Amino acid sequence: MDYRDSPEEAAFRERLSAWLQEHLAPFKERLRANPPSEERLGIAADWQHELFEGGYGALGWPEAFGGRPANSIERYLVVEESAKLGAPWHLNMSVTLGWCAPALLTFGTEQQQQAHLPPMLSGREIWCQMFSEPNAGSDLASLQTRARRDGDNFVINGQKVWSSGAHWSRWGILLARTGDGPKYRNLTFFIVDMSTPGIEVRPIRQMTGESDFAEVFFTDCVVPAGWVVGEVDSGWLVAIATLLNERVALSAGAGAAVIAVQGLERLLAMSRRTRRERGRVADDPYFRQRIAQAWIGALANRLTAYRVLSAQFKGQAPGPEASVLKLSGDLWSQQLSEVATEILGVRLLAGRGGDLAEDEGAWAYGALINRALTIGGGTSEIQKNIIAERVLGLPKGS
Amino acid sequence: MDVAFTHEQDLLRTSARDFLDDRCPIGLVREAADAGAGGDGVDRLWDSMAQLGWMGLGVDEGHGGLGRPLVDLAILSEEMGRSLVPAPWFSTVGLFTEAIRVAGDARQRGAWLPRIAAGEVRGTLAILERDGVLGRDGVTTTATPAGDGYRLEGSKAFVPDLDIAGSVVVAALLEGQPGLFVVDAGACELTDEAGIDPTRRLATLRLPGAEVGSDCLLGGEPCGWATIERVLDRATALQCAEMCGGAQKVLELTVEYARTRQQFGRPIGSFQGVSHRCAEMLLAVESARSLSYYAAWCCDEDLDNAPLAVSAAKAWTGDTYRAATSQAIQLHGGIGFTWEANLHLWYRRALAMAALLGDPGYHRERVATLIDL
Repeated sequence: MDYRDSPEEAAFRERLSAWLQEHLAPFKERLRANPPSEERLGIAADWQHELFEGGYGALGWPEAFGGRPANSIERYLVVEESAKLGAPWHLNMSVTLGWCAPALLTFGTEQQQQAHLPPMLSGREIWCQMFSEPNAGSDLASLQTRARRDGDNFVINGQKVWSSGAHWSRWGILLARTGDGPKYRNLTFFIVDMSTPGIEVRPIRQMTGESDFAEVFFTDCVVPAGWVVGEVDSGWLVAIATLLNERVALSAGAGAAVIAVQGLERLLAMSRRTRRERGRVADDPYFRQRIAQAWIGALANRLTAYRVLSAQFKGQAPGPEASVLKLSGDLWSQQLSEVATEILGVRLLAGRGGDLAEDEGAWAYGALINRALTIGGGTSEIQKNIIAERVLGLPKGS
Repeated sequence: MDVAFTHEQDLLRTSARDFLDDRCPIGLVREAADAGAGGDGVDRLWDSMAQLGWMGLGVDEGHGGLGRPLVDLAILSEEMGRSLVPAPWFSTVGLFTEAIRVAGDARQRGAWLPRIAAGEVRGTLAILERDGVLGRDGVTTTATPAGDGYRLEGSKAFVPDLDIAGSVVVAALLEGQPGLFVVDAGACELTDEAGIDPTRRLATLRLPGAEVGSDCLLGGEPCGWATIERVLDRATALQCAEMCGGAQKVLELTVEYARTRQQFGRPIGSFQGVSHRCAEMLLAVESARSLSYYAAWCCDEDLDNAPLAVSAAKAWTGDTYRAATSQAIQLHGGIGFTWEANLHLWYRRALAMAALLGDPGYHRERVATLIDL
């Protein structure tokens, strides 16, 4: 047991960190003006291209698609060091590389892989995911969007919702019903070209005021049969494998852990300089307890991610700790935000960019955006169902 | 980075679990709890644990032990926490031995460690006094030079396993400096406090001018509070692992009950009001385990951040053990509140261990200080 970098890992981290610092400056400059989400996605995609060209963008992916051999710890170090140095990131890059690309790698045809994996890995294709519907959220398998076979094509009709970045994506993955019968069967997983006629994307304004996600309407949209991923009618298998992909859990868990560490440092700095009615926040026994607890939670989450990584590295099956990572990462990111809300009191209310705002209004924004954490990618309640049924072996609810 | 257990550590865990399932069933725990101080069952359990080398697992080979790291002791401790081992392993190995190892000089280590490793010594540690304040200011018992040695005056409280220990390390002030003195339990006045946890009893110790030899002062001079904290940190890391084991065990008992107990025509575990609490317990217990083994490892490596890692682990694990045992009782309903159901034994242990060696609030404050808040 050793929590430190091995000599090989330390050397890798050093090379990586030097490379990142050398290449990051212009990207951070572009982020400095706090541009809107669409522009941040462009910057994140350009950054992925830079990473790819530098040999760090496709670690652990097959060399045929531009990847390089790497173990799980090296892949994690890229996440950790990038976050530490404030590298560009956007949710749709995680959707593209964490959900869509692994689905194609596991279930896609050779042709699909060759056409899409290289541009995805090099930041040249941005993808979205179209699973949820107005009447199929947590109960995803009851979705009603139809895909009717028509010769060499399928014709899609229906409505999707909560598709992050669908209005900025050229490609997407779609889950649609190809037949009647038991709800978990008769679903098929498609690749969709978002520029196909018959697709209308309407951005949804979320509670932060921004529009990061969208509704997608399909009206007689034609998709070639060659774009089915996996077998027709076994899309549920592909979708579940995608959602439960260990890369997803890990990058979510590890990423959240790193973000929490960065957030904690800002929180500590803010507590030291902030005064409240009872005096300096950092001297207040109540806030000291709250902040220490948030710090401990973030540490626990990071240490659990290390356990998952070590097991992966040794080729062992993930234990129960893997299943709690998303839940715990989301929980602690929200906790951090809630502690900051308590500390700032009325000062949280100051608008973004105004001179009353603490940390340029990042805490106020965090208080809004962090509500999404325990909803997106499967609500915490669904995560608990999965843990109860799959890990603890409790009977399914009705 | 490799934070997984080694194959040998996995084997240690499975052999410990098999042994304890066989030799320390819940019936033995209940007998010990009813009997008061120890009893034949506890003596037999102690002897067979000693034969396996568990008393000397962490003692270096030069002193007759196996020289294994604290992480290995934490594994044993976790397994003992599952089984609520009523023998004074934690008090002897976690508290008494660590005091000798950390604060003793070469001669004292040579005198005590081989006997501990052989299973001949049952010991404990007395830091707290009547007000229960953990810290330099909580120590008011005094030691004054007398003849060849010292005279100890004062009283100690909340001393675990004192009733079955032969020796006790006592914290006392010598010329205003805290030091640790090894005292024969027979030389003290003991009052069994019949505390909340009958499987690890607490006692009060009065030292009405007890005289001890000069060789009883560990290190030959007062070691100071920082050294005492180092002893406590290593013991606390083991205590955290023990709490993880207990919390994991009550989670398993609860899941088993929720799978079989039927209401409204289906197992209660199919209701989210029940199943989600079980999932939350798993999250808390896995986080506790992550923190506890990290703490033990930091102590093994003697890292500067060991105190921080230990306090983080204790704050979290103390809360988790109390919450998990409370939830276990709740999810068992009426049966969970009965004397016959065993859950209260883990709940009592949780209340005791969460509070002893610093409660979660104490350790969160220590975390706040150590992260320079």
